[in-house]
Amino acid sequence: MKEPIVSAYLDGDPESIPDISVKSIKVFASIFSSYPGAEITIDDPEGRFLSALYTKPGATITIAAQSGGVESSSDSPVLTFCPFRVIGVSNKGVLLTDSDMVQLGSLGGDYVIHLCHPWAMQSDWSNHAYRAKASEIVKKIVSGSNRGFAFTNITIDPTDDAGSITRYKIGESEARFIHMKILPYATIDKQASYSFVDELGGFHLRSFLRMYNQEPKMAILPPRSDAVATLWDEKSTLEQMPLYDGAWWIGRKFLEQIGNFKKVLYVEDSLSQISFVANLPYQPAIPGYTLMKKEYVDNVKVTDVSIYPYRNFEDAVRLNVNNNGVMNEFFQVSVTVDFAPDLAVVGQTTLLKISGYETTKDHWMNGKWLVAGAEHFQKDGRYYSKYLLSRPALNNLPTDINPESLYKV
Amino acid sequence: MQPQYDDRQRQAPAYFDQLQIYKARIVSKPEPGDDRLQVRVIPHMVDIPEKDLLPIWPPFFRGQVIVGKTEAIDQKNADYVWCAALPDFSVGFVIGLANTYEGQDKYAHSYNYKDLVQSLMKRGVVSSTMNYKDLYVQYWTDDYLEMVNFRTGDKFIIQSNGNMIVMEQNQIYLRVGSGDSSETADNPNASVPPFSAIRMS
Repeated sequence: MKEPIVSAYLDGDPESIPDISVKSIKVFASIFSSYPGAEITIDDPEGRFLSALYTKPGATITIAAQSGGVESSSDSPVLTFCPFRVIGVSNKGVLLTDSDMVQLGSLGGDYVIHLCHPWAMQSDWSNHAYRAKASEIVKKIVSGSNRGFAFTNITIDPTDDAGSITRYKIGESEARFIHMKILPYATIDKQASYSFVDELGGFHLRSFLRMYNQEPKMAILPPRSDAVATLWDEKSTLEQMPLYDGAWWIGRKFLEQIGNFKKVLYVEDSLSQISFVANLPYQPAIPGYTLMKKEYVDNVKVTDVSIYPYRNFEDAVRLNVNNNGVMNEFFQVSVTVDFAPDLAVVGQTTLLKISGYETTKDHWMNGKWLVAGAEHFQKDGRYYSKYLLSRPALNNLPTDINPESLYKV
Repeated sequence: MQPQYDDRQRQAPAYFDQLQIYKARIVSKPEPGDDRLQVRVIPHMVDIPEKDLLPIWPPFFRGQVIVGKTEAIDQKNADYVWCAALPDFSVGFVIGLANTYEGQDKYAHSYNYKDLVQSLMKRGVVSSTMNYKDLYVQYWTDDYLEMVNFRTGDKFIIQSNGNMIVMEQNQIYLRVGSGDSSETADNPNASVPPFSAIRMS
């Protein structure tokens, strides 16, 4: 088995940060935040890196990786993560008590380099007014190169709005403008929209469904054993990855989510001065079971109320749709597999194919999931990828649960 | 960062659904049939290059039309207005012309009460008991003043050229012209500046 190789280069130096000193490299991203981050920990017991001030805030660091695989396979292509900028350097002891002894005379210990995508610090700050569809505004902004770097890979789905409302970018970064003033009023196919930069630097403005519709490149299975042999498919076109560690959470934000099943919306359209009271039944991004008791939803008239004064009707409705986006996180599973940024990054899909209590039967949670968060990290000298998978509803149920008793959407 | 040092926490966030008060400069007045004003919120929009997309907002109160000097005509001397708007400026209204704030010590931007009263008393329109503190000025510019004595109910409409309408409890006084002569105001050969007046009691 070949281990993945991950190296980091400082300010374009062809010589990587000495592997022998690198304790860990961690890259993380999610569909909920504007841009990814990273952290490199260098073992510096003598305080040598600090003495030389090895990295300074603002410096550029490139992290490149080559996935592992079986010995017989040819070398995987080198994958470069998005460019990163140093936003801080710290020693753990600065922030919290650490039991590790450090050489106090030289402030030795772990030399932790905190990194962020360049968009966190480099932006076109100029003020502008835009009147166009949200997707066109975002495209115009991210296509610009007046910020010291350019996005090379941009995926923008067309938004539903008519583009009749002027948006003002005033004293704010591009990312903040998009998140605060565009995203809340942008829907795609009448669904919540997400704007983020993935670990490889690609910019996305997408809906859950459009991301979910992508074919997975990877299936996650239980570690090989005789008991689960039937789950592994030697002819599979998907890369099959054993699950090392996993966790799950159903309804992590349940008290926020329950309100969306039967919400009532009060809107006063500032254009027509007409007040609306709209009953909004829940429309999920993908159909399936929510595990919500049907009886509960059927027997209550209202689960939550939202009031949007002053807004244009179009903005108010789309704001509500985006508020419903929390439903897309109703089911969450986190899985840790071998290092796999070449197979899945945030905004892509993966196939969950784990075993049930009876190992020969499919688990009811199996199926395609969206990668909502990702962390590629090193532990005990090995590199792994940990994915946070999300779905708003499931296709299958445990056999002894009566589907008629559940609210199906 | 402590909140008081965070600029963004000092102002309403962009997503607030609450109208906030902003000062704006009048950019232009749309064509007849459109009673709104195009404004430039100050200081936020001071350098926005897309002038055509600056907000065009209606008067805050129905039945009003607010006008003033515009950037389109006089870039430097355009009037300021108060506006009520959402913090992202997607919806807004023009409340009215904005006053200046000159600090605690002195306020130079006051109407000329002394000259006004002197002029009115000279014409026998008001008595010496008229008190500055009783006069509610509804609107004034360099050329026009409109006010009410809130104790007596007397109403005054006065122009800088001497034209005035005064409604007191026992008389209505109408006057055209500013001079001391009672010749008709439209006599071009008058020896002294003329005026023409009617007093009804």
